[in-house]
Amino acid sequence: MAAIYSLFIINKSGGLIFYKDYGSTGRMDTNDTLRLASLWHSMHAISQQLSPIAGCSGIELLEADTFDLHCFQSLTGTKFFVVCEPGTLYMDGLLKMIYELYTDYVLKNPFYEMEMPIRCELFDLSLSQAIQKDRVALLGR
Amino acid sequence: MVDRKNAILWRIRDQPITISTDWIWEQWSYDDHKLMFGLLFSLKSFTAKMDPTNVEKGNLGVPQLPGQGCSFHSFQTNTYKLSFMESPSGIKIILVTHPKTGDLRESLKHIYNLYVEYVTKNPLYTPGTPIRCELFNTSVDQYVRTLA
Repeated sequence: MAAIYSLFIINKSGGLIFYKDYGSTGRMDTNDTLRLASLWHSMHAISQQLSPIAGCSGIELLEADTFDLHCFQSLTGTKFFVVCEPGTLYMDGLLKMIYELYTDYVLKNPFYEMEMPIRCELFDLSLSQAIQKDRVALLGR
Repeated sequence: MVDRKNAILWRIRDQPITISTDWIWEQWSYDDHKLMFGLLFSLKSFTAKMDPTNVEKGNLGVPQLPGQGCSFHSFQTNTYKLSFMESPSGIKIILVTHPKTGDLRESLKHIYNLYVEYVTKNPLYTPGTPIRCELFNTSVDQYVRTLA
């Protein structure tokens, strides 16, 4: 059973720029993933406005009945979120690692246009390695 | 506490129990409530569509009955945690707490029990109207204070 169901990366205006599925049942089509990504973007913004204390940076963890959603927002407004099994640990570390990979392999790629869908072989490769490593580490615990 | 048609039935303003920062609940306007209903509503359709364990999910935003589809029980930001419960009759109970509070599902159930005991069993209460029950107020107030 997979610990991680899927990974989304959305740009600062709410467009989906990267989506990868790691074995969730009932795969969604491209339109659905785009819709979910922009919906998440707006809910993230609303949650900031609702905060009873100033200085809120949006939803970090959403606990649903059948999954957990961990979200990390970079300083430039790009949001990374993973959907995983309820109670999966160390997802914050994984998200930071994915952000590192994104800065290394996507942002430093001279052919990559900002805010556009990510198509980088090296990013795909190192991402799958990172997730694999994470899974191995989870199994080892 | 919110009813099926998203009208506010009851609301408690409580002092922050763990930390003393500038608490701006007092400034919450009616617009903020509408914002919260909108957020909870969209989060529910979001989780129903996202549900990675279900094959038959339908389209995004399809109206669902209470208890149908994958719902959520809490979300967490760096400044607050919102716990949410929906009863089979569509009453929604929402607790906004400090982000480090643990699982509040049992507490929400307890508050729902208080609601059943003191509000629905009150012969003078008409369902769907704002709750004005002294006993309910005091018992919830007491209970919420023990949660800290």
